Amino acid sequence: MKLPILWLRDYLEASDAAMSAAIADACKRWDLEHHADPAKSLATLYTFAGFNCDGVEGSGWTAVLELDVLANRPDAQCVLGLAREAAAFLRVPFKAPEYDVAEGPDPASALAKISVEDAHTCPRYTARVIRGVKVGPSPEWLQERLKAMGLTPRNNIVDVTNFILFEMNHPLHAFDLGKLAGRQIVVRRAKEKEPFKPLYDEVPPLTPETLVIADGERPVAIGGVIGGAGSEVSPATTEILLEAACFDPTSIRRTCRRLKAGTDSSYRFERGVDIAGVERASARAARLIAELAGGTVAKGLIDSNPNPPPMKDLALRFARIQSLYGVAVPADVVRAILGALGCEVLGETAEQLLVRPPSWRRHDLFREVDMIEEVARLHGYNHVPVETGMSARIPPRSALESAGDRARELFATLGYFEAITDSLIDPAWPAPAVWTAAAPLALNKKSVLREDHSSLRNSLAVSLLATQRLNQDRRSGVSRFFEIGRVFLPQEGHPRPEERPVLALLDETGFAPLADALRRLGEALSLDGAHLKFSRPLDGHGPAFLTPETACRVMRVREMREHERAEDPIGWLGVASPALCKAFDLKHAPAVAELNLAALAALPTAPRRYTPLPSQPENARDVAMVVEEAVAWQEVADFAAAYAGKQPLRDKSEAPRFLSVFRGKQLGAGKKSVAFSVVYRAADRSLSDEEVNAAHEHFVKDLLAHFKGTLRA
Amino acid sequence: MSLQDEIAQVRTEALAAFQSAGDANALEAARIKYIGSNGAVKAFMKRLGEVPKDQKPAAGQALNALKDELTNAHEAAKGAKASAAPKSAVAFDYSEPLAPERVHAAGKLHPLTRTVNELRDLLRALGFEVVEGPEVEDERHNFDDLNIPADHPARDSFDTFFLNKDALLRSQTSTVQVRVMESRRPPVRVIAPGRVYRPDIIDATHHSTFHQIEGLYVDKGVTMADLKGTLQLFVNGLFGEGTRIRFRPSFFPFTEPSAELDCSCPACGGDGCNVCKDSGWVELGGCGMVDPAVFEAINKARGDHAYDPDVWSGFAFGFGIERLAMRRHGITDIRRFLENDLRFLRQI
Repeated sequence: MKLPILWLRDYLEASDAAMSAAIADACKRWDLEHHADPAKSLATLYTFAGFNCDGVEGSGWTAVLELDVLANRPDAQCVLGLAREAAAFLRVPFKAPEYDVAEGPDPASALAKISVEDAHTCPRYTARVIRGVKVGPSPEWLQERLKAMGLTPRNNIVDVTNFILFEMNHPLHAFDLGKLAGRQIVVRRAKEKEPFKPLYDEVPPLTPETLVIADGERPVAIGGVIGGAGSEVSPATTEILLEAACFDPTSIRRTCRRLKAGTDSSYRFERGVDIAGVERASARAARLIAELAGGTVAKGLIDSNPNPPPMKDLALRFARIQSLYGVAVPADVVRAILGALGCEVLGETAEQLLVRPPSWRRHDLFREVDMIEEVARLHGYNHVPVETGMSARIPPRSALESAGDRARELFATLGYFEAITDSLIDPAWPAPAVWTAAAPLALNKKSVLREDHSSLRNSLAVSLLATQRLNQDRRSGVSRFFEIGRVFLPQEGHPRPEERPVLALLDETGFAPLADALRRLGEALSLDGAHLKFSRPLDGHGPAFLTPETACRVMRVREMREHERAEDPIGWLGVASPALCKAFDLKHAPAVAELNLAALAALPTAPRRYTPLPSQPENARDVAMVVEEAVAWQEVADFAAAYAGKQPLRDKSEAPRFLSVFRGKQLGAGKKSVAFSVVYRAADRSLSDEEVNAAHEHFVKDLLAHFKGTLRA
Repeated sequence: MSLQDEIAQVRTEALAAFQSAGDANALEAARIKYIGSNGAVKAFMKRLGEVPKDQKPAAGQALNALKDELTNAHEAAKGAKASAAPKSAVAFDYSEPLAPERVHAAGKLHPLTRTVNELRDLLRALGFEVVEGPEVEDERHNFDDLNIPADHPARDSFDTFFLNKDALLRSQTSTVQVRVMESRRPPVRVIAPGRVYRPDIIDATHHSTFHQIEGLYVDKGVTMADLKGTLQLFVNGLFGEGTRIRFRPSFFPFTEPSAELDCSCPACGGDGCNVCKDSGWVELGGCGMVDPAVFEAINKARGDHAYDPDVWSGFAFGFGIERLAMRRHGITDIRRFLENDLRFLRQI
């Protein structure tokens, strides 16, 4: 909203010197920087009154301020509304414009007729008749004000209606009464495809949803939005029907959407104009038209609703102001602020005021708290003290939050970068069905701006694959990422999906480092006894986006013992399938994992338990065994661990230690050599080499027999 | 020569030999000769048998003392050699980096996570509990109960992605306020960091997916002064002690009175620069006192009068996390956050 300071001052009773002094005083009161240029200071003051100033054109008393008017203040979309604000924060007297109009003897009701068929959409329609006008250019003062607002002056009639729109926030329309068939106005719904030509541009064919202002035969305007060609004021016009009306904001909004049109009028009706201000707007416009274009204003206002609902009186408790604003505001300051805004103080006690808000604040000033905001705002938010009297009480942390924090710390320490990716994904991406077989949920087409951001992800891994691709294309480095975020899983018979917190990892350097990182997660989360383990590769029974020979379930040790029957694993890991790598054009197939973080967080936790350190030295013995490639280390480790039960000399608290694996020509194709060590120890004595060697030989013999292996030469 | 004389002579020779050894090799040769496993001291030990029985303890003690003295003298000589060695003889370059394969491969938390964690830790110390709410919401939680009625122009500023007529992507984390109050009685002190969505054209300063942190405090006697105090601490923690704040009146359907929070520009400290467009201030986010209409909507949903606006008051605030992180690190392109370019993640 443009605010020409020149125009603003029409409603403030203050000389240049008085204005300057009031501005300096207000800046001081609000602890704001005072500028030599009054326009700059006013701009700051308006900003701190809640009307953010975006710019100042020119300087001094002729400058124009560009102010943002907040959505709850339709009444301030006009110079008069902004002048009331200035009167309140500058503490200068407000000067209301003149609303009284001299009327001729002939009653308007005999000269024109109005009827409203849809009082819901048009709660008030009024008309005045002015006869004998002479259409011509407007005087200098009027043209100057309209130009400052960015409007082109047209003629003394149209200019007056525009002037009232910007002065009082009330859109008006002037018809050439002589061109209205039957000298009447009918406010009604349009007929299907009823012909209508607007004053400018084009509009789509009318429908019965659109409210039109019609004469005896045809629509002459779309109510509250735009006038029609043919009934407008022309140089030949001598009789005017001046419309001042109110329209239902919702209907105006819908109409504008349908017509894809918006005007200064519709903008205001959408936000709400003052239904009780109709008489004033109409009278003031008629007075100005008669003054500038001559003619006689017919007696009376033709009015479809002369008794709009009255304003409700409100109690404003002083204690309540302080209990929200945090500042005790003196009663006289409260009264002055409310008075400047147009409120009437009807009564006063030591505890409270009885206040009647002005009709133009009907939409935002109808509760005590609304008035408290006005007092706080215009008394000045800078007066709010900084207090921290809140008692400290350290709140609990959710298991999910703790698990997320610990996982983040672990993976960052291990060299993974945390990624945060968009949950809106490209539906063209392959969808790795980890948690659901259903396709990602699509956004409603109407709300989609970009096709590549139009589905809600059901897996995090896919986003990490896209991240690897981006880093590959930009040569930014080797991708090792983790992400904690939600995936969205459709639920049968429920409008909203399940939002599952998930942890995903991607490692371009391969399966083993990723598996190593994941193995540490159980400890990082302090899981009670049971650590995380992986199942053997599921050979085709795992998710299809992983290569079959690598796809493993992630489970707790306890579940593993139950023969890997867990239906709902904690997660999956494996190497991305060639098809998936191809879809993202990845040079290296990454290992990926996706875990249900909510399930992990729900597992019981316990602090790690201390085991006394052994007092006797360990006796480690190595084995290097050549076996078929198909023999997995896990099987060897399981065998060696179980074997400890048969040998009293084995230290059962020490797991078999993996040393290395070797593959080479010397061993032959399909063979590998696995080297590891086991530990022998007695709790109470040191063992002799002889007894350890004997026990170890026994173990090696059974080991080789079990795996059909040979010792590496 | 008695054994004692021989011992005295060996002692003198040995000390001289350690003292005068020209290099490490000569010193080592002297060590072997006198205190090595077949050296002179060991030889004396073997001859202890010759000593008369009553003199044995004294002789033994003397030999042990000699061994200790010579060992110390040798250590001292060796230390002196080492410290006297010219620097150039040591292969050491303080600036030599590790071979690439041996460099500690450290990862990092995402800058958004780090920003949230800082805010969370600050506010936790003030007693705020972290809570979460769904990202896919219904109209009641996203709009109606936040005092944003259908067909109201206020909804214009909250454009929304819809999944279907009953499900939308929340456009602000204020939805969590509603959910928390529905399920808990006052007093309530929570923060809700989370992801929100708005159909904005993606450019350097806008994204359709971004993050907010919402705070809500409801208790008896909560005022705007408590709000300002809390936010002052919040801003101090984020941008440093001495950062100034101020409120500007604003409008949000779910708070009244409402304010925008500004802080003195973290880039220039308030002197004016291109970041703050020479104003010395930057905008951080919105806040205000919980609107009684929100309390009433909650009461209606709960079916009780737990949040009586005449008894309870509260404040709420909401900040864009990306915007805070951008201010803090001087990031000029919001798209960097969800892109995850390793060069960016390493840098910030």
